[in-house]
Amino acid sequence: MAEVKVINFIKRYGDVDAVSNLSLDIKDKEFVVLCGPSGCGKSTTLRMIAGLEDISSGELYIGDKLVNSVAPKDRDIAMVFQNYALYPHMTVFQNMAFGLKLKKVPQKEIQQRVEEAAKVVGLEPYLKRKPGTLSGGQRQRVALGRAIVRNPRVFLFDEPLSNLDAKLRVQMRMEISRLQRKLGVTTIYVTHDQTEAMTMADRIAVMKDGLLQQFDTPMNMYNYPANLFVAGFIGSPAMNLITGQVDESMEFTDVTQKFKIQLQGYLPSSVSKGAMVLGVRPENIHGDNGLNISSYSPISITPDAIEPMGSDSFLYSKIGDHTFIARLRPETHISTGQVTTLFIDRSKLHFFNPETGERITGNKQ
Amino acid sequence: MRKAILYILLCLFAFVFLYPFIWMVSASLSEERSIKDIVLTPVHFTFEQYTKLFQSIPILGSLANSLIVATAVTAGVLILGSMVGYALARHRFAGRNAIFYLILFTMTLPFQLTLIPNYILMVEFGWTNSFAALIIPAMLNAFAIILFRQHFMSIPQDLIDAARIDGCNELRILFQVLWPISVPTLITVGIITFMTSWNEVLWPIIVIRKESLMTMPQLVTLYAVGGRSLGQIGMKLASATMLAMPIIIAYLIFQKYFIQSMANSGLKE
Repeated sequence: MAEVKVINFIKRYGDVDAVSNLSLDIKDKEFVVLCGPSGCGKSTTLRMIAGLEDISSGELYIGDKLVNSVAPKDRDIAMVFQNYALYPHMTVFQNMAFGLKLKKVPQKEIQQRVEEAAKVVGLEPYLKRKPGTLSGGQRQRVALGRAIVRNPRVFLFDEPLSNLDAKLRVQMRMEISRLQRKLGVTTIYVTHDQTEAMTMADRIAVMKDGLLQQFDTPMNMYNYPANLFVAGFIGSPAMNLITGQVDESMEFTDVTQKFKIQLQGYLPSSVSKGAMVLGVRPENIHGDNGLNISSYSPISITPDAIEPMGSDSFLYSKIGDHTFIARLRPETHISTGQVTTLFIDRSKLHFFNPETGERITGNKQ
Repeated sequence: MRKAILYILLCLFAFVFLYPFIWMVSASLSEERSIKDIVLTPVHFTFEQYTKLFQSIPILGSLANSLIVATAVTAGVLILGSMVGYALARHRFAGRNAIFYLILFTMTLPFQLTLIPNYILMVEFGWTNSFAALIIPAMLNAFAIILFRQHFMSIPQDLIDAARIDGCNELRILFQVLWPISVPTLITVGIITFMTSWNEVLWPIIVIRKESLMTMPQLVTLYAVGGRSLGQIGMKLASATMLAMPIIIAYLIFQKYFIQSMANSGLKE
């Protein structure tokens, strides 16, 4: 088992930096998810860790060893790919045994290790089949088995669940998490799906345009997003971000002057009047205030659409150009087109500097 | 009804194409004096033409020579062509595109243009009158390289990466991971190369003089055209049939892959 230290990673393609100055300190047995939109550099980072791409500048340590110039096969890693990357002409057994065979592991030990790994991922009945005859989920399990059998110090996953259907994805998500905890192998997992990141990670590294935005635990990231990008990226549906001004009386008014909310006592101490971006998570907006909670502040909106999801209902409305989303309890009775009063929980608001996009921190005043 | 007409038409065309071949085979099995007739089956069936053929030229020896040469050339083209194709498709290096375009360009040069320079090279190397002259210059060809390059470009990068992490070096990736999943392309390149090598006449005539080293097309051409058949058309046809048979048999065995791969690569030969 091993720590992974990424120090000032840069990946340069011509004049473009695909990854800029990325540093990550990944602890032994930790499950870290690299997350971000397409082209943010997350897969490139993973491929650099695997040794499949050269590191333009920076250092990579696996355990105590600097591995920048070590071949992928000697880095003691195993990787699971998005499209499984199984050898189509080999049986499941041969696929799993291939790496061991090349390492000249004795035949008897190969047999034993493959059978053990097959048991862990539930593939025992399929060892003699070829990948072409297996379903998507089974193929992904073969890829997992092939990774486990190597007994590596680090697991690398490159969007391994993207090709599976929604139901199977949830199931495999849990299986991978359980397996990782059971085997206690340091894991780096790349995905663009923030739900996967939230549910699986010990810590998430959110990236954008090659730059690390925030590296923190899922709950910290959800509760204290470092900037507007992270605020919009983590959480589903995404956080409502409303640009506006705070006046002397500590009242926030959005640019269209239609949305007003009194923030006295809820603003960080560092905030004075002026421009600001207010963040409200859809789940911190409520359909009623039966308990008369003091932090709840009423707002009037006109719903454009309501999506009943069963467990909740999503309400969509327009505030200026921004689509305002509220996640309400399913029993809330609201009709589209009618002015409705909702309640925002002011104790759960987020504040961002509109120029830098950074979170405004500080004690509540 | 329309389908029936279509099939009748197709059969008619197929017959037009096949008839010369059918006639050649049946005439080679007929008596010399009956050959002038237009027939479907042999008249006065006999193996006489073949017996005379075997007596007058070392055709079996030349068959063995042809097999050796065509097999060695095919193996060379498959191994070296796939290596170059893989490097061009999957490795980033300075001048990669320039090399690829240069290889493409060589396809536009007619064989006749390089005939004399190649012959001079063979003389300089002392390879005339040896199989080396027939095999080595033919071991790399642009068509194979391009076909392999296009095919390898269609293989997902993940598969190659997985092999690299499993501990494969480049040669192992090519021969243990990519070759087994490239069978149709290998067969297409193999058949085309084998046929081209098998049918080659001009180059062997230039570099081989010893009868014991001659390939079958060379020997048959010299025999049929060069006057040793004594003007007997039956023996000429028997030698032509002998020449065509191996290639037809090979094609019949591999035609499924051949057509499949041609359809996949969108190329026509």
